[in-house]
Amino acid sequence: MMPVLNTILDSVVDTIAPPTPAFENFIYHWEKFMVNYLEWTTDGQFSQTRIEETNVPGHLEIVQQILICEDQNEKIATNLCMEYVLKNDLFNMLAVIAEKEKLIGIRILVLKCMTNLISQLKNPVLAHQSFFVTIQRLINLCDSVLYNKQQQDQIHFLYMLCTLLNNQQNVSIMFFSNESNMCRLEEAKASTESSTFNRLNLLDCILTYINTKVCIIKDCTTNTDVYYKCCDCILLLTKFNDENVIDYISNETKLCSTLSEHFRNLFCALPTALDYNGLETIELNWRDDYNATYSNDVTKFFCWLNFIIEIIRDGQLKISYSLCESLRLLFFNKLFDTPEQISCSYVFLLKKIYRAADHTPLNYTINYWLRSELDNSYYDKQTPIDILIKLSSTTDDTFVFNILNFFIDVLHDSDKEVLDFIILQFINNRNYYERCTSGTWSDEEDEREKKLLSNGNNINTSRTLAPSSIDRIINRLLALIPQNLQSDQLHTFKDHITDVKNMYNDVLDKCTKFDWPSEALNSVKINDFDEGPFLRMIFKKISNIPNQNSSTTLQLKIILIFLSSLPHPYLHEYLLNSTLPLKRNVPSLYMILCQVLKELHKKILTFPNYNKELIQARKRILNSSSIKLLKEKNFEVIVFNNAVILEELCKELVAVLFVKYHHTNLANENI
Amino acid sequence: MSYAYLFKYIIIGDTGVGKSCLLLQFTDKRFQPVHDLTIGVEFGARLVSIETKPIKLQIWDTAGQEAFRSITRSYYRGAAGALLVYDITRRDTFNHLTTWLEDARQHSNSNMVIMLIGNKSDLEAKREVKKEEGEAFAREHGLVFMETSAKTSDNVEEAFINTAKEIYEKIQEGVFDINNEANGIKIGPQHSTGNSSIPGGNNRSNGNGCC
Ligand SMILES: Nc1nc2c(ncn2[C@@H]2O[C@H](COP(=O)(O)OP(=O)(O)OP(=O)(O)O)[C@@H](O)[C@H]2O)c(=O)[nH]1
Ligand SMILES: [Mg+2]
Repeated sequence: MMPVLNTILDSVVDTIAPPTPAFENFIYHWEKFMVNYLEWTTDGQFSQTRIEETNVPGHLEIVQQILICEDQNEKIATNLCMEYVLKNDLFNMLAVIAEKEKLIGIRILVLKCMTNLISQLKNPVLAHQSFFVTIQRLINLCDSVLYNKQQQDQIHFLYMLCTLLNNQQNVSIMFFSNESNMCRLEEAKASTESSTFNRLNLLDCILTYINTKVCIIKDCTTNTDVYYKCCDCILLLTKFNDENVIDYISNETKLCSTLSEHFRNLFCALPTALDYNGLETIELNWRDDYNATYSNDVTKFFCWLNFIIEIIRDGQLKISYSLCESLRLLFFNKLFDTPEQISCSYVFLLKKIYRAADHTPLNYTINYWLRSELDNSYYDKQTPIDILIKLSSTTDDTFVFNILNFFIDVLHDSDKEVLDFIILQFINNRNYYERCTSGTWSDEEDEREKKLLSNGNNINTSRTLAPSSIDRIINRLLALIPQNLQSDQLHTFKDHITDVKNMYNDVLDKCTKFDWPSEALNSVKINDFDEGPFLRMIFKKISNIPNQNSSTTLQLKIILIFLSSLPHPYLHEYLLNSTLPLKRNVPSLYMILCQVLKELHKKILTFPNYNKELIQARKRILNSSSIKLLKEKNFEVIVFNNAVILEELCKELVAVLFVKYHHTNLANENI
Repeated sequence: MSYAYLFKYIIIGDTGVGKSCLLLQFTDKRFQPVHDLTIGVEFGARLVSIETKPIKLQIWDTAGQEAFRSITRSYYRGAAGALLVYDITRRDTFNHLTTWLEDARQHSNSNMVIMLIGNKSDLEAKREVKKEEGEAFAREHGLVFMETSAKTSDNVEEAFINTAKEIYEKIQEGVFDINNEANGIKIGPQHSTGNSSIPGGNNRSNGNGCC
């Protein structure tokens, strides 16, 4: 067959220049193709013959060649053949032949032929009814569930189609609109036999490849290619810039639910006990790392996470938002469905997802979810934040470690609503403050009085920063560590100033838009003070420092430094102003630190050589991360580590006070 | 089958004004009473003769629905003539003409001949747009105007042919550069007229058996 074909092909090339013979040739081969096909399938029988054993592919090949040649020479030739094809609905005939597949392999043949046409025609007439209805029928045949063996060719066809649409985005509406759907239904009614097929839109068809690839990944080497093409198609489609298409994709296709459900499936397939060591810093990329060497499930999960994030980041905003919303409903809301499941690795993964979502709309979604009440039987009306706070009372050190780590990320993200939910709502009524202490005037009241007298002098120095007692506050903090128990004889906060300054500038950047008050003022209503579950948990954990591992202490330090650096007057005075009169039973950070340090110091003094030990602990702390400290089991080492961390905490708090105070003063000078 | 020139046309206008019906009446001499929404584009062709020269009209019928507007726009380029259609029984289709005209002027070549058509002239009782209004609009914007009925075929032939005449005149005047494809005009394959046995139409099924 092949030699014959080649000579025919040659003649095609020869004759293509004068247009009319090409047309004759075209008709000749089309008729030969049809006749040949009909002969093999006499009386509509299913033939046992494989298509390669017939002349059918040869003739179709030439038909295709002529169309492509004609298109490429459009300047000299008129598009007679294409005109004929469209007028007589030849493509549609091909689609019907493919649907019926009475000759083994003809479906793929037609698919490949159409793939060639759509990828090579310079002027594809995709918008033409006769063309796009055909394409639509073929799409329906490319559902991966239907024909597994031919996945490669099918996805290639879909991929070429997406690429073509990407280059001619105005045509994409043909594949994504209710109007064209209706038209397809009409079409289906007209040809009764095809009505058994699913009516799939292009995107939904592509989405069918997502789930199948999970089960066959191991035994199919070509599978990676299918996966890449499938993902690339989705990326292309979600970037199309046509309002109607965007609406259709977000409302009428299964895009968001499929991606979210697949994410959940991969999440659930992960081993319950993960090896975090390798995973702590890992950031997989769906394109490069799909064949990475981590355990398959883990790789797949992180690749998919990366892929979803890419869609959210680069896709059309409306589609991103829908995807985020569906992730919230189908993934996040289900995370706390059954309390037994919530494990250490759960929280670890949550943190990884949170990090990956940074700077994308998903970040907002997660923050929103964190503070919204769940609606399930076990955790009715509790928010994920509440649940995590409760879970952090566990004795499992790693679990606590992961939860606190997650909170550190959440705090650093500085979402206004989340900060408000976790802490600020509890303190911005100033109910911690004792208003009518007889006799002693607080520094702040003092200031206010002075200001009234001096008639607006010094108006710009925040009273909340307690300008007149700042020295006293600083000295008190520094004095928490007696001289003989200092691991560093200099005992200065100056080393911390640069870091704190940088952090404070970052924080200011994020928080200035929050419109926080600049001064702490008494509210009219007087209520009992409640520091809220989060601060309660933090205070409790600080009190417990003598009995717990030093990684927790390090995390507490990070949290406290961050909270005190926030430019929020109430939080500032509540956490940092130890001269502020507090109501009875209101916990005070300063007092808690006093007690804890007293206890720790008592323990330390029982060790001989404690000075040397302190100096060594200092070296250790400076060189370790909290994850290393987590593994330390030696009680003595832990005690010394904790003491050193607290010593640094006090100095850093002083640095924060210093930086904040000078920042406002500097700002005032500039005014 | 052989022709001196090929002119590309495009038919535009709101949905339901009768674009597809006009085309069908012109190419097949039939009328389609049920509204069959056009999705994307459709196409038809017919040979006419202008001053004894055979001219092939290749006509692209577009979808009037808003969602497909972006597709329609891509067909302006490469059209020599446009039929801008409104429905004389629906004033809103007349009111939208300005938008259509803007679109056409923006996306087509400047020489494109535009024929304004008030369709459904058979429905005199339901008329909402007076003939004079159509004439005035055409005059104001330099268009040719005609009222037609795709149902009774009244003026349909004339609408397509007059547009072709207009284009032909422009060619004679040298306004159109016929070697520039973007103008929607091609010179026909008349050099090879020796080949008159080209199979055309719907005779593919009676092909002789082979192999
Ligand atoms: N009485 C009458 N009815 C007409 C005439 N032309 C079209 N119609 C009817 O108007 C309706 C719409 O006609 P179409 O030609 O499908 O409209 P269209 O402009 O192609 O609409 P779209 O494809 O959506 O852009 C049909 O029900 C036709 O039967 C006419 O001249 N007279
Ligand atoms: Mg129509």
